[in-house]
Amino acid sequence: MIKLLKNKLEKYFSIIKINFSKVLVYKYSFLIEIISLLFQFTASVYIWKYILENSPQIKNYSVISLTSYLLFSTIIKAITQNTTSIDIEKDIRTGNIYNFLILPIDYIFLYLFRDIGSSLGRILLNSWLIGIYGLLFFNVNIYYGIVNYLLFFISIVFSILIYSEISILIGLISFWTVSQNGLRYANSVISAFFSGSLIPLDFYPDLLKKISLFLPYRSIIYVPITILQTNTIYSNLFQLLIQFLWVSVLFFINNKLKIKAFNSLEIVGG
Amino acid sequence: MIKKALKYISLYFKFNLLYIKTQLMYPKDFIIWFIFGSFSTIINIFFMKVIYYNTPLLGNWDYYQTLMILGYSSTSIGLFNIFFINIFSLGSSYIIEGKLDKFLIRPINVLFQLLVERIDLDNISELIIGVFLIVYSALKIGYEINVFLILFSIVFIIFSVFTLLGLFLIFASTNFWLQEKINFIPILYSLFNFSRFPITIFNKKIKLILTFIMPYFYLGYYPVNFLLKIDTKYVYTIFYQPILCLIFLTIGGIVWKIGLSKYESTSI
Repeated sequence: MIKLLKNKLEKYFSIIKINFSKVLVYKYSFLIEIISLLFQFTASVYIWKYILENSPQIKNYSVISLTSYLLFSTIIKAITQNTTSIDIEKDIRTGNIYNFLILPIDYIFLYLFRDIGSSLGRILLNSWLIGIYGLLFFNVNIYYGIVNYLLFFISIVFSILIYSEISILIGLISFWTVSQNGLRYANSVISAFFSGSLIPLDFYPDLLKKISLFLPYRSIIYVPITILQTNTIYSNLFQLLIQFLWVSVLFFINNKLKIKAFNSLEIVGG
Repeated sequence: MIKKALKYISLYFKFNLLYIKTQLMYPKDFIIWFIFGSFSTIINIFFMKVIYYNTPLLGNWDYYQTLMILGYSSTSIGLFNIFFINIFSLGSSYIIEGKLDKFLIRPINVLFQLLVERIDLDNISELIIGVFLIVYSALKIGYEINVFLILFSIVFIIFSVFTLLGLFLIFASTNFWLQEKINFIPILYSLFNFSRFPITIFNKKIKLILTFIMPYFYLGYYPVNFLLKIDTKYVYTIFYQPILCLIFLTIGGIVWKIGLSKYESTSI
């Protein structure tokens, strides 16, 4: 039993390892990614700094805590990015997907572990670069409690999983639409807005805030950072629970879709 | 000369038709992309709403005035994306993968071929929303829509689009020298974030850089400020744009020409 489990884990562990080293190979393209993220960060810091300086202390945020929020949001954005939906679409379009059908690996787990691996690579490669940029050029606060950081890291693992699962979902939909550029684009834009990556969701009008409660996107960026920045342990644990629920729900949906898709799979040529 | 121009125009339409035909291969996808292509602009409007939900003025600019800036910048970006989006893959795919070969063996200008190979009609939704925003915000502000406004907008939006072309060409051409697979274009795209807001909120360094070195403020802020005359200091800065446009196109052209002469095919 233990041997079986060990075998299984080894399989997935090597997937993580492969994708971790893949990130290191394409380091230049990740550098470009970071620079573009930093420009976005700079632009939004200036906008919100201006607003807060003219009407200080709205919604319990000071300039420093908001700048730190934006910095952490940039870091999480850099960590969670993936190409999963593009790759799944490619698998389907080229018929390459049969390769995975004959392997003793679960298709969804394959991509989940792949994203964990590349996210680990990104943590090592670029998250600290963003942090240094923020510390050098802006006034930010990174001193939070140890418990906060601990919960924050757990929460980031969940957010990597949630974002990866959403990407897998979009990828699987292309079983029925063949090519899914539009859907992918819409997803990235909506997630940028509802995940709270531009500003904390507290700043949104009530209607938009309510909508965001029913979407998984807020668990990707807003939740981890609020866990880091607030000290009420029970609400933090509750947020973690919600994240975990989203992970399970999305996994369930993906699994159902996968089974449905694989049953109706037709590969032309091969 | 005229004969050559006519040839290129007719070629342009033929290439267009070709691309549209390949696009219609997936009609469902085209429609989806057409709808979702507008999402980024719509989200930007939402974002404006969120900003003005928290503050009445952003550097002396109220909601509709900023919306007008967004309109101008979306229109320029939309037009640029429709006609020149293929520059995006110049470095990453055409040069590195040696796809440029097929252009070199044809008796037509290489840059022309590159630009016409992909005419992104999907981005038309962004253009439509941009124009709509200009008209809508002008009406809300009470700015009279007359011949001057229309002519001014057309001329300066065309200048913006060609300035961007020059700028993008410079950065994309660097791949002729850098053999690594580095694509600088996403950085240029991320700078569009700066073009949607009144520049008075940024510090002096950013103002200078994005006015003269990377002329992004001309996409939205300067033309609108010229029309509405809100920040009196910058009303006439817009007239640098024709000069900058010329400079950037020239440098872009030169870099492209030198780079092309250095091009070594990588394909077999």
